[in-house]
Amino acid sequence: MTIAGIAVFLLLAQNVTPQQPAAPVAPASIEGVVVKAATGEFLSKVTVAVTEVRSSNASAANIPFAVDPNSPEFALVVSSINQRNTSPTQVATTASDGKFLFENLKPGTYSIKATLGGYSPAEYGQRGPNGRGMNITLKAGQKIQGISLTMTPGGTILGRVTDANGDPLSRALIQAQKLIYQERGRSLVTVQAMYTDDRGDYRLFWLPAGQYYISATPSDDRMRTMTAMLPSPNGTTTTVSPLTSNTVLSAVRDMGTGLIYGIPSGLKVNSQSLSNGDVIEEAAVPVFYPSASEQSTATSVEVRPGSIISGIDITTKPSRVYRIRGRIISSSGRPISAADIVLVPRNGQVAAQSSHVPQSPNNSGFEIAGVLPGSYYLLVTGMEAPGMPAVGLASVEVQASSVENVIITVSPPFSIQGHISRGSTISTAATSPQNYIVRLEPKLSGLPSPLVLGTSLPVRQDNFTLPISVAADFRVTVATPVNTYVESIRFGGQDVLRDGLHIDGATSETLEIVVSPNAGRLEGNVSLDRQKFANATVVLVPSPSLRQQTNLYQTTQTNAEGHFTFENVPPGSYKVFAWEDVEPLAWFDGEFMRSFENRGTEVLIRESAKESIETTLIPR
Amino acid sequence: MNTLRIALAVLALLQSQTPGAVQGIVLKHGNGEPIAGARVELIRTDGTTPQSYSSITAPDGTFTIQNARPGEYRLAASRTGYLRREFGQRSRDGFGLVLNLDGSRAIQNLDIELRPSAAISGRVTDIEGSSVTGAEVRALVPAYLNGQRVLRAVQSTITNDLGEYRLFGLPAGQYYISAASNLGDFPLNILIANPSPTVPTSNSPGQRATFYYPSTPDSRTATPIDLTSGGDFGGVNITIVPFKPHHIRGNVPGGMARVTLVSNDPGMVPSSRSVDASGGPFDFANIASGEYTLVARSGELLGTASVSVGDGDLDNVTVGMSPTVPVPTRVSFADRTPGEVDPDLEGVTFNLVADPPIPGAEPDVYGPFSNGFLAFGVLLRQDYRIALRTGRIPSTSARLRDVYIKSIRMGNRDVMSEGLRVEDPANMPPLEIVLGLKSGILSGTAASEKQKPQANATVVLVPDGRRRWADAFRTATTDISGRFVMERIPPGDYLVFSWEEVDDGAWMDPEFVKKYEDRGKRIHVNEGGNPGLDIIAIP
Repeated sequence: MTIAGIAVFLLLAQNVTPQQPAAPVAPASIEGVVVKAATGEFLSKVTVAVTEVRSSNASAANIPFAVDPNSPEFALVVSSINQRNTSPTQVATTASDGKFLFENLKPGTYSIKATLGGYSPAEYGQRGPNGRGMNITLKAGQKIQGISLTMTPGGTILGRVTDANGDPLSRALIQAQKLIYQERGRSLVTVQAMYTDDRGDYRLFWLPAGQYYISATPSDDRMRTMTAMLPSPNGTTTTVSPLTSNTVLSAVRDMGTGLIYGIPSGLKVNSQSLSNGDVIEEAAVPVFYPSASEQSTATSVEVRPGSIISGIDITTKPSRVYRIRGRIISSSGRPISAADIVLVPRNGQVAAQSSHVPQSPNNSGFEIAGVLPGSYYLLVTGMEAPGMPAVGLASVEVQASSVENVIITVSPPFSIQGHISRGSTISTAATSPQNYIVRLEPKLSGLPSPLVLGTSLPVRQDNFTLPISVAADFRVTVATPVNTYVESIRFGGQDVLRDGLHIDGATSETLEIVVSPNAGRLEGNVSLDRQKFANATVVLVPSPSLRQQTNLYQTTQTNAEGHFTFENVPPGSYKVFAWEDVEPLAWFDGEFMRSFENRGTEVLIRESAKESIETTLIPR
Repeated sequence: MNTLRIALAVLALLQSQTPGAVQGIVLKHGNGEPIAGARVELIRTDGTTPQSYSSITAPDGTFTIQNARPGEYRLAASRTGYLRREFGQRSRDGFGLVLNLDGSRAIQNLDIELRPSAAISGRVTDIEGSSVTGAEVRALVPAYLNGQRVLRAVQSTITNDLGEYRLFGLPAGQYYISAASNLGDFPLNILIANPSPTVPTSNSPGQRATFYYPSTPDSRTATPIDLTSGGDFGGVNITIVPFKPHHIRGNVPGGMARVTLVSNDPGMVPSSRSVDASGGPFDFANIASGEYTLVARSGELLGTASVSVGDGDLDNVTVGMSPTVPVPTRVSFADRTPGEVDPDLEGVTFNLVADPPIPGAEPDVYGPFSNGFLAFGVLLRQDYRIALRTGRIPSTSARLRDVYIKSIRMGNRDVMSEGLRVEDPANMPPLEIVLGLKSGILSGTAASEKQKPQANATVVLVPDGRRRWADAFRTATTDISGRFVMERIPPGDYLVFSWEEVDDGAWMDPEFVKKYEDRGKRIHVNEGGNPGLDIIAIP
């Protein structure tokens, strides 16, 4: 018997047990239409799916331990788990009148989603392309009519790519990239990737509206396959990822010479013999429209819904690459064996990765080839002796020549003492050892993952030892149990919550963390022109001096009555912003917030108190 | 033309002889005009290093690459509008000659001829005439694999929002174009060039409906495109109909069998789906309309059924299996009496393959006892061929090193030329296989019609006067001075061919060989013989 068969069997079995026959439930229905944005014309061949939302699919117990229930990510994790667990209740396809009808629905809560190739998917109740939809609650026998879903068509970008000699460049990789907001900065991700034909022409299509940076990268002549990233035929957004970026490095060993290269992934170092007899080293790098080597100096292209932009022509040129040579020495004077070197671009995007360049086994010298001009960190982890690791960090600037004699000193890791105290008002029931996670993140931007030099330490006792790999500046966050918050973190005379943790080396100072149970609550309403506003995105933003503490931010949507609630808010002063439509995580970006700063509502949250506010919507 | 070449050769001599430098010229194939602005690159053969050495050709087409570290390299030239070509390359996607740079002397006079590349473009629409976006379009060339004509994909691309596609960078030749609509997400990997002729692109039957230009689901009725060098063939429009998934349901009487479904369409190359029909019934889902073969195997039992899927599901298909009939066989070495015990016989193994091969079926493997006894299991009234599993014989004995099949006879029937076939098991003479132990060697040179030695050229030995089974072919590649050596050739009659330019494996296709039949050289290879041979390469 199939699983579906067994499920039906069990349902039937359940219905047999009551003594009286169950009353039949009147079926509900939903009827609506799908229209094109701006023109309002009806859209046919749209796939519309209605899915029952079962809200108890995911609870805090199911969420991986590392996600803080108070964090914005928690809500996203919950909703994605919900989506994964459910398949559509019914699916319909619109005819030329754009209409859809779902009949025989059980009472319950549903979400409705429409998808069509060439359009951004649309959910019922979505306020804008960035928003999430709203659910519809159906009662028995209820017939809902007049639902409207608006779909926004994508746009097209065309152009031609030529090389430095003016010849068309065939099979160049074209990437349409967008800057997205992330907690620690903006990151360039690839939304679509295609390649040019033999005339150098390319066509990017079905691009969701927005600002794009278009880049062209010459391909390797010997490639047998190419990876493209195209929009899904049913219009759902595919996961975006950095396809190639000149900040992604990989290490390759030259079998002939033993030389180790740390070079951009997918690119190769080319030794070019010039007509005047000189030989230079170059690499084929992505060039941004119109001819910029970096996104920061490139011109973005704005895609409006349904628009076609042609003439986005790009001229590629290879970039000179250089070498970094140096030695690794240990602070104790011992020779270093087996070191790993990581070359990390300093101004790299948050999503940058780097990997390991092992140094020559014979001595402590190393050579890295194929380095593009820029600012870098060299992060070295080595062994002074078996079981005795040592770490070092150095800054390197590569401009227009190779860099020689870089000396990197590695020292063994050390640790600092830490202590967690709970405010005296915590009840005795809460004094048993709890699980906290103390997380140290180095402040150096561009590191591949904060944990490369950072620490994440689960703590169960009041006193703990925190390992430190290298002297640097850190951000400290502490995940605390529900209904508590971090009141203060001090280290010697430093206010760590406000200024971060500065460590020079081994020290006898203790990291003092005070946790308090007296979090506050905030609730409120969002309105515009005296009308309550449902499904607005509300963000609780900490005071300007604490904006680095990303765990203080919270976000939610207003319900059908325009009401929102924030729980577990550490006491302090905040600003509440309510947007009709906002790009996710944009509120972490200082520049973005500058234009909205005076449109938020200030609120002071006191210990154990509940505050109520009214705030005005920021419309699209 | 000759004057130009002599002048360039003199120029080359006068160029500075920088140690370790690599020098040469890039010309257009056909008229020998120099190509300026081409990129010439030295690539390490082991491919592990990301470092390459390159230069751009000057207005006179010459180039000099300096500073290359010692090692083994291949040299490649490319320019948009032309096909990428390595020095010494002899086929569309093959590799060129390996150059050994030792850093002490310059390597000069490396000339590479580039051919213009061609393109095929068109639009994919559905039956209503609307564009189909995200369809995978492939350029396919006819090839011959395992005794079957197949279509090999050499390039693929995806249609854009207008339903348009463009396949480019193609050599001249005959092509079939196919379009397949996606069933879900767009395919992400686009094939640029397929270097391996023997690895078919797998296209599992039933996964999505493929249509061939102009609009047929069966490649056998498709229209080929004859693409000329440098041509731009547009308007190759393909209409596809939505994929209607069907079922093929049936059973295998007697239960417990493995059922394999293979498409009869040569465009869909051997890739099958299997279902364990334990208990009898099987159900293949997601099958597109077309013709298929079902093969059921259960131990010694085997059966096939041809089915045709139309507009609906196919139910109640019965695949009957028959037991195989044992064929008593005696194997012996040529220098012994048949039936004499010889332990070396146990080191010999044979492949038994249906002729034509049953799609998806692996050859059966048999090995004799030390007294030479063996029993092949065959189906009645089915043709087979028997081949030696060379290269897989554990060479316990030096005697087996050059072993080959000298003769196979069943009564009066010469099985080597007529194949093995059993009609009447009751009146079946025993099968006698005689193995020879000494093979021959063939060596010689290949030169062009103008007497220029052909480096990296393919020399092929085709069996003459008997069935041309795959394992009877021998090939060799000439070295830089045009010389070749072929060892371990089973004695017999052969035709020797050499081509200046040929796709790997093309000679396996009888149609291809027929075209050049009169240009092959007839030779006879004896046991231990070593004839020398000079052959003219076919341009």
